[in-house]
Amino acid sequence: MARGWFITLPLAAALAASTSLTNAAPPESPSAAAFREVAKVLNHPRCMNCHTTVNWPTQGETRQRHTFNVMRGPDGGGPPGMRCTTCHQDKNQDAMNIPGTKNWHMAPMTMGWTGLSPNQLCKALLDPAKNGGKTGEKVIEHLRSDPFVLWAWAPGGKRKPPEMAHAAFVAAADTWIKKGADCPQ
Amino acid sequence: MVSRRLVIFGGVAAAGGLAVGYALMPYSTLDRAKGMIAKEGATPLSAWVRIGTDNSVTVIVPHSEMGQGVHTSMPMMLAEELDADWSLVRMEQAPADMAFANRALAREYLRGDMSIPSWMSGVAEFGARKVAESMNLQITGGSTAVRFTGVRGMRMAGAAARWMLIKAAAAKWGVPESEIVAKQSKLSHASGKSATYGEMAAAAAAYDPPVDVPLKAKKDYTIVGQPIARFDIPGKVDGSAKYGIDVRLPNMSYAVIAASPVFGGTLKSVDEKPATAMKGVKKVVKLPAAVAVVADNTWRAKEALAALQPQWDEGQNANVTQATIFAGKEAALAKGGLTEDHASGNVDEALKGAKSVIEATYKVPFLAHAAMEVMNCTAHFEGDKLTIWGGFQDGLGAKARAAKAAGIPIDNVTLNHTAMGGGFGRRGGTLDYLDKAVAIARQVEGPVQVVFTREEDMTQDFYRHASLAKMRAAMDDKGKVTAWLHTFTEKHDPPEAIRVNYDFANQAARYASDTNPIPWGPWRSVDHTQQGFFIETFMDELAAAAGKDPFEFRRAHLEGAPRHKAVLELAAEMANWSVAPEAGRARGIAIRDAFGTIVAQVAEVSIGADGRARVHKVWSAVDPGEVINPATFTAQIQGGAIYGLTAALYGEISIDKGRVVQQNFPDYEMVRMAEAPVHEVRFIESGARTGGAGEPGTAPIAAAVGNAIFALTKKRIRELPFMKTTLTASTATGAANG
Amino acid sequence: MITINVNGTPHQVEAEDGMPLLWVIRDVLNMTGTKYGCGVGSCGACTVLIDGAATRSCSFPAALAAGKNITTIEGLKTGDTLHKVQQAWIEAQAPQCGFCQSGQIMAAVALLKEKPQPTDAEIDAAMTNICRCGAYSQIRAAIHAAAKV
Repeated sequence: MARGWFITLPLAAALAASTSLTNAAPPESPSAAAFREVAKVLNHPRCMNCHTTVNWPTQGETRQRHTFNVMRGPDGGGPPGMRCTTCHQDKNQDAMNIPGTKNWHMAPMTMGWTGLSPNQLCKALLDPAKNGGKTGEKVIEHLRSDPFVLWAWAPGGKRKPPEMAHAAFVAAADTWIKKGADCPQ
Repeated sequence: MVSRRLVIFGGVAAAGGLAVGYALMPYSTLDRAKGMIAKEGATPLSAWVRIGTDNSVTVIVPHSEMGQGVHTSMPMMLAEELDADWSLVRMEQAPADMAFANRALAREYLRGDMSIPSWMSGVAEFGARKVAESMNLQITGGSTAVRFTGVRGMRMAGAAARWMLIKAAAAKWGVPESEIVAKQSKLSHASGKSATYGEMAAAAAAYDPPVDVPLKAKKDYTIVGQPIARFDIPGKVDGSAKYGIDVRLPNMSYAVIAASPVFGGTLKSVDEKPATAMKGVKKVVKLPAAVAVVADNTWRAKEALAALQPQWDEGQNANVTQATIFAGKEAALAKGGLTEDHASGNVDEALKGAKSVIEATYKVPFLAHAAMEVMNCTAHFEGDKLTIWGGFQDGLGAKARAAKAAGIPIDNVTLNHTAMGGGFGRRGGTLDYLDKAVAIARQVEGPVQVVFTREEDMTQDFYRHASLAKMRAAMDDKGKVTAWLHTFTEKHDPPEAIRVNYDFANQAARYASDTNPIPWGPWRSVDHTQQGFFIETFMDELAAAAGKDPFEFRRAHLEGAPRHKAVLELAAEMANWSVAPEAGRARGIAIRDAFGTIVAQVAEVSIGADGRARVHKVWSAVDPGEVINPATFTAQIQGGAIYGLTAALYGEISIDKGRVVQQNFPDYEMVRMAEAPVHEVRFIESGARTGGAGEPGTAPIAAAVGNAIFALTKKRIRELPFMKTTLTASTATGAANG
Repeated sequence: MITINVNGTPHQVEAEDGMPLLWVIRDVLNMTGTKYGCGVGSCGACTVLIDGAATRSCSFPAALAAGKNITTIEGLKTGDTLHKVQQAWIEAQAPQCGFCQSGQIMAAVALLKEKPQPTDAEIDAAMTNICRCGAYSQIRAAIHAAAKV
């Protein structure tokens, strides 16, 4: 458990309480501002397509529902007999325009981000019940080195990676957590 | 009164002095046909049947199997009349030879009972399109197999063979023919004498086939009408069935081809080096309007082709778009001077005098066939001899086409039939894939298999045409249609697709053709696909305008068409039409008379959270006159409906810069298991002339679904596919069908 | 050269990087029961089992198959005895043109292995293969029938 995690939470809450009393929006904290940058990346189709809150993945830049009735299945890896790995292999298959990395699967429904505002997204990422029981440091670690996250910057075919470079993204996430894990309003 | 069957018999006999058994085959080709099917230990009793000394019965079927069960239904019809033991019956596909031409089809044409669809008569490329040449057809298409070959050929051949066997037994045993019982491939007499068909076959062959032989009464059938298991199925569950793309020959190369993406374009130039430098690549072949890479396997050919950057002269269609095409259709209809398809009464006067006129415009897009097996063909030149392997709906037509493409006599061509991974019209008259294979094979040593990638298959198809229809109608105070004017673009086949069976006093249909430069090809049920949507949706609109129940409204206009009325009533009964479906759902109804078979369909739909229609159930009432194999017929109606449903829900090929936008299934979506409705099929065997099975199920489904969507949402969708319109279910659902 | 095990037999094959297993099976081993339908993993006609899991071989690099057990439609039989799914397919008269059926059968085998008694919803989720002839109701019936064996 990262100690900073629990320390920052009351601070964030206090900050939220105080800003609600003022008319003019105060300048956002550096942490919250950093999260806005993080959120831009998280809202990218490369992340959102598999972090859905529905029973199926989406696909493409428009995040349309995955074609041919592809379903999440009980473990996020596709239903019995029609696993994600039926088509998605250990690496991108560019000739077929099929993305891939090891153990292709969806994020659990609890980690679904569809339709979340930056504030909600931030809170979800900080909530161990919605982030796979991760501490702030573990969240950073996930964003830094998880093969799926890295895949987003090398998605193959004509798929677009997030605009922000991966290193800048990790740095922003780091700032966000280290400077208080504030959530933008 | 002389029966129709006897008329044909007499007519043909008078014309050519032919033998019965291949009732419609001229005598001159009889020996040739016999010779081709004769095998050691077997006596050919007619061109359609061979009885072996081992008592096996081999039925020679001139049609190609593409899943419709024709390789089983034909033998069923013959075996029934022969009184054969079904377990001894085998099937053999006839060689692509003139002796096995589908003369029955040509005969029907000569008699004026049906017109040969234009795409079919174009198939036999022996020069001009004369009736005599259309006699060379060996077509599987237009739902003709059972209707013509079966009814006119197989049955009579079976009965004639049986008669000859009885004749032989009577002579041998010295007993009257009338005392001989022929049953289960066995001849017997009360005296205790008996022989198998096989034992009597040689003796029977000495007799001339009879000129006239009575056929069985339907009540005595033991094979026809049963859900007999198909011959072709075992090979389709263990991977052993060989399709065109499965042909493997010693020393064979594989070619993958790309034609000009713009229709009508030609190849300007291509730098071959990027491909020839790649592993396994043997050659780059340039054709006038295409480029192909020949390699030692399909993948390498495909990859090498992708490495090429051919330069195309895009020709005059380079700026054609979906918008210009539809603008052209609008203009063609607005310009007037339309061709009149049919007219009765005076529709223009009736519309002029009407208190109010109801009008609607409908629009349907281009559609690709997207058979599961992409177009392919294997060809091999050895000197001036050409051998072809592939799937063709018309083997003989394909053979003729290959000869023409190669510039060699037809007798120099050998055509080997393979199973077809779907045809749906694509493997009929549109034999570009054969032409291309012949052209490539000319430049390749050894056999070469030419394969379209799925992308090539989808973008180089011959499409169901996009079409526009403007419908106008008037009704009297009682909700009876007094005028019906149907104008549309793009007329092909069959003629009845434009007809309505409703008793409209004043009606006419007028059309403009050739309003777009996109290649056309027959697509399962052909014009019925769009006309069924236009006619049966507009009929629903009229019912709504008259405040009538859509079923009752149609029924009230079918007083002069008892068969149609009975079919419509059965569909309503099956669907429990008068009782509302569960909340959130509604039903729609439509009826079509296609290829001699009347089909009424009720579809039950709901609207999903995604704003798309979901079809839960379909009920089809079908009157094909008679049913040969209820299992395959049911599957054909269900499958036909799925084919039509895919088009209605998702199907759209669109054109941009003269080329097809959609490339593969991800952007040309299909109905799959999860969207496939539960579909109940029931038959009325009215005894009317036998109708087709493969296409009629496709005809009414789009309208039935659209009418159900209207019943549910009060939104009338006049453009296909339905997925282009986002829907919301009305809150007041489940209340009524109308 | 890589070694792949197909239906229990090891084969030494040459397959360059990126060459899908499908084309090795069809064009190198000449086992044509596994079909090409779309080449992009969408239609399922090329479905084989890799270590028992349904896999669309058109998008599976052959190189990744080294050391794995591949089962194709030709390998479902035991001797001359059909697999119960194949038998059910015949009894339900499921195929029409038949071209998609190898893939359909392989997908059904994989489903039944994980879900011996699948519900209709589970069949819907697992059976995403395209059948252009529209034989879906017969395929569904065949899966239910095979589940009872």
